[in-house]
Amino acid sequence: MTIAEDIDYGTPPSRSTTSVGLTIDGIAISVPSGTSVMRAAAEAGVSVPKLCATDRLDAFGSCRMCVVDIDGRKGTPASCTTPCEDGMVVHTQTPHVAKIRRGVMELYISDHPLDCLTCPANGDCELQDMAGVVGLREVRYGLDGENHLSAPKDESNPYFTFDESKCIACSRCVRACDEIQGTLALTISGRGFDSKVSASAGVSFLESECVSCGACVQACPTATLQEKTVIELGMPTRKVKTTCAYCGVGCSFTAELRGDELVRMVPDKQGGANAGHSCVKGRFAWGYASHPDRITSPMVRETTSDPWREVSWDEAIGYAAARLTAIQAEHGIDAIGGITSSRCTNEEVFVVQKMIRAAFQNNNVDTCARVCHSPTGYGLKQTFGTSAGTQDFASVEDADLILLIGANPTDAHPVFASRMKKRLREGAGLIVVDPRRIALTRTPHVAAEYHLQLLPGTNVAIINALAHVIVTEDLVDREFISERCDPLSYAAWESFIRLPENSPETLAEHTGVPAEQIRLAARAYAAAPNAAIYYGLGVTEHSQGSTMVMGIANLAMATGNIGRRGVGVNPLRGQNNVQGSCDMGSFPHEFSGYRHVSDDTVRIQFESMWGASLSGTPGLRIPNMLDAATVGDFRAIYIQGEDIAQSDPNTQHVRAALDAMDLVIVQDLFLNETSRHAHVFLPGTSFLEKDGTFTNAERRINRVRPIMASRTGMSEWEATCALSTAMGYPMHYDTAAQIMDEIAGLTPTFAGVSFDLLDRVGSVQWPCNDAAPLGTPIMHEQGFTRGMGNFVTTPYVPTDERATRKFPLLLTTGRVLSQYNVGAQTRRTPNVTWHAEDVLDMHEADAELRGITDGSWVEVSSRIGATSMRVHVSDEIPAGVVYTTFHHPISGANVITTDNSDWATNCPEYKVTAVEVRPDSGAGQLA
Amino acid sequence: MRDAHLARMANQIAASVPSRTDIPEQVALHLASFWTPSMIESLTQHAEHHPGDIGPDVIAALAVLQAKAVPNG
Repeated sequence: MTIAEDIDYGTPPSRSTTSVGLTIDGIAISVPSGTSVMRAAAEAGVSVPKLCATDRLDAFGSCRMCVVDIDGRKGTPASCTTPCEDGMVVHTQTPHVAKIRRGVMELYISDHPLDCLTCPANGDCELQDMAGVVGLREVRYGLDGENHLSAPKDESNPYFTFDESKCIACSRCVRACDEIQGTLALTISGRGFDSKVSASAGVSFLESECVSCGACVQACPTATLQEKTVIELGMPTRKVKTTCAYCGVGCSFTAELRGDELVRMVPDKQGGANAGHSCVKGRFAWGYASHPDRITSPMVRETTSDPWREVSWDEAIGYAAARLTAIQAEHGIDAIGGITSSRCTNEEVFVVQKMIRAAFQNNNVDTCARVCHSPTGYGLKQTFGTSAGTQDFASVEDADLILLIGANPTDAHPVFASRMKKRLREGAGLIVVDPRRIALTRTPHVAAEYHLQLLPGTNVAIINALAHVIVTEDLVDREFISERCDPLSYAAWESFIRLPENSPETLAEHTGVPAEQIRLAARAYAAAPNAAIYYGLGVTEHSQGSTMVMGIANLAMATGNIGRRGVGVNPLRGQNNVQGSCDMGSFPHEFSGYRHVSDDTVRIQFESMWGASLSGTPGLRIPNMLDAATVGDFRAIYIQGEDIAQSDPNTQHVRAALDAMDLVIVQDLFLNETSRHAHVFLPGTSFLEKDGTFTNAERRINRVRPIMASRTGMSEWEATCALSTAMGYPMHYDTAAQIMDEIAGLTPTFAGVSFDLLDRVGSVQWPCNDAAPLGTPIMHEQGFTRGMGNFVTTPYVPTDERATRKFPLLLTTGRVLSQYNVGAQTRRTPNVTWHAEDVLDMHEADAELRGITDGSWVEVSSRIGATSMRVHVSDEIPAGVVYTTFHHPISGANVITTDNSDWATNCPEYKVTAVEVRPDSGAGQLA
Repeated sequence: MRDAHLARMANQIAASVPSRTDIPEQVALHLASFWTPSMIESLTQHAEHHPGDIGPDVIAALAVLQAKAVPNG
């Protein structure tokens, strides 16, 4: 497709609803009040020279390149910092301003290397462009004066170089770090001629607080901050728009290539999810796609002790199909099943669940959302009627108060976190509910008013206590409740939540949070004109994960915080397509669009379209499959892009179950922990080779476009179709677009979606159908999907997993910024620079008590198992709680997590494991 | 192992279903909606052989299911 070049309007748009009229170079134009002259000129098609201005940053007015003449105005004001006024007459090109610009440019160039032909930014340098635009022909001052040409380069960051000699001190990088990323890691140190960009307090970029989001590189108008890939490979020559394959934010990128070689990924300013921002993973950590560990040929082996044998696609598919068929003949139709991947496209996921339902002839299909956000699907469907978040990301810009529960966006959803931080810097209030002191509780220019530092496992107690205060102090929105919610369910819930057992004072003994803090936080949430709840896996990965989601929905409905911008219930989804994989019918009880398999009307529709008889009873979930395998009832599994032997809890149980199966088929990029137990390996494609769509946490359906041919010779959906066909149920599509057409034909919320539409409009948020042809950014605006909002009573039931004398500490798990999930991708990139191993965060008091010092090895044991890792003594967690990540298989974090799970969905209780920690030699790490 | 786990899961469901007035009916509905017929059958057999593992609400829920009072879904 053709991609239009982004126009840089120089300054951000004004949000004013009033307008002013003016004339620029004889062109009459009307713009919103507060629009800069520079932006108005750009909108009128008049380009004003600029260096320090860009429309993603507030006007700064330092470079003096954009000066203009304005009738009746003294001097030559900078157009970037001058707001338009009614009747203003502007001249952007006069001999006077042209002379000023040339003079300014002459000064810049007098202290700039004249190495354009060998400069990595040659052809992509705004200084070079502007020198041409202003007609600079000579530098009268010579180049021999005092200068910065021999300033050293900072090569410390693995992804970009800082070449101070090329810096023009425009501050765009500093402002990008401040205004877009919100880290404030950069500054201009020194004065006058000594002014220079400095990371933190004059240390290298790698040693600084820089999070390598790339915003500074993006903002730099010269080659001062330059991607190392551009330095090594040269300027890209073609572009393809696509979508990041990391977290659930789903950032849009322009992949820039030379031929078929990817040179860099540039965040797309038009991207609905990211609006031109990125993080270290999406922006830079894509090298895994061409890592030598990639497996690109199918492989089979009779037993897991045999070596892998490379075979043709035909042989691999034929072998897998024959064994699956034989297993079903011997052990029954229900003896096999499969898992879809949230890293794959909607189209790839859809055909896998179709194969299982139609070719396997059962509903034994599940997805990795089982272990992350399945409670979100359950809880929001029960209360609102739809298994998805209610808002778009931009909605946060209108939030007056943010209630952040069990989420750490700066690490797990960094691009959205930047948007959130911007709103917080503008003055929105913040309440954090988390056992850990996450970064957002206190970060530059952001501080949470309340940090409810609860004990792991007591979420429901907290949400009930908050609701108790709101109800008993009559802070509810009675008008909203009477108009929008089911009165009987509200009455039952109100009676329940008023009970003294739900008061902050009563529940304090469970939560560890002082009652007064909860009361103050509840009042703040209820009083805010727009209060928005954002939550993550710290809500869902509990034995009461679904109850907590429903408690959150209750709170939002009780205060009327649903159905408009700035409010809502917003699950921050983990993987790039976890929303999509759920939407596509990956759960064993639901077809696409969250319709139960027992619904005869729906099932007949699928049977008719697919020409197959389908089961009307639910299939096995992942933990059910594993349990059934250990007793011989479940004999074969097809696993698409998920490493359950590393990511799922109770690793020993997972491995035993896999070993008990007759056939394990893994489709992935790399050999992994699960493939140790596999008999067939089908090579997968990276996102750079995929053609399809991802759906992000805000229900936004984005195109994933192939920028290179599949390295395996086959798309994943083609391999799935081949396997299905070999098993006797023919499936064929010519293109991924045809799969989406089938999805749209079967799924009411996707009825209007097609590749053509997405290519035309960029992205849409479901529901997208006749009622909303361009999608639905905000849900439940007029009424809930289920009709009236349903309040659900949420009794607090303490988890069985409790600290004991033998296991006195509570372990909770999470993620770091630089790594992603089980690390299959990020461990194969220079991101290991920042996180080379998983460590155990431990409070100083707990460490001292056990004679443990920072950096020493410890054994972490639970009632399930034990592993070893190094300790990081930290004050980010309270005494009695320890914390680790699971990005590296060697640390075996899930060796110690239990098989406790959410009562409604079986989502594992990753966030609460009772453990003991002892000094150790490190020998206990997994081989 | 598997059947004991099913019993634990069922007890957990009974402890957590939202309404506290019609627990057996809600548990039955939940099992019918999310469990496979073979899981329900295994739980039923486990209840017969190990009645002490399973709470009264789950026993009652299985009776509801047996009486086919709750259709799938």
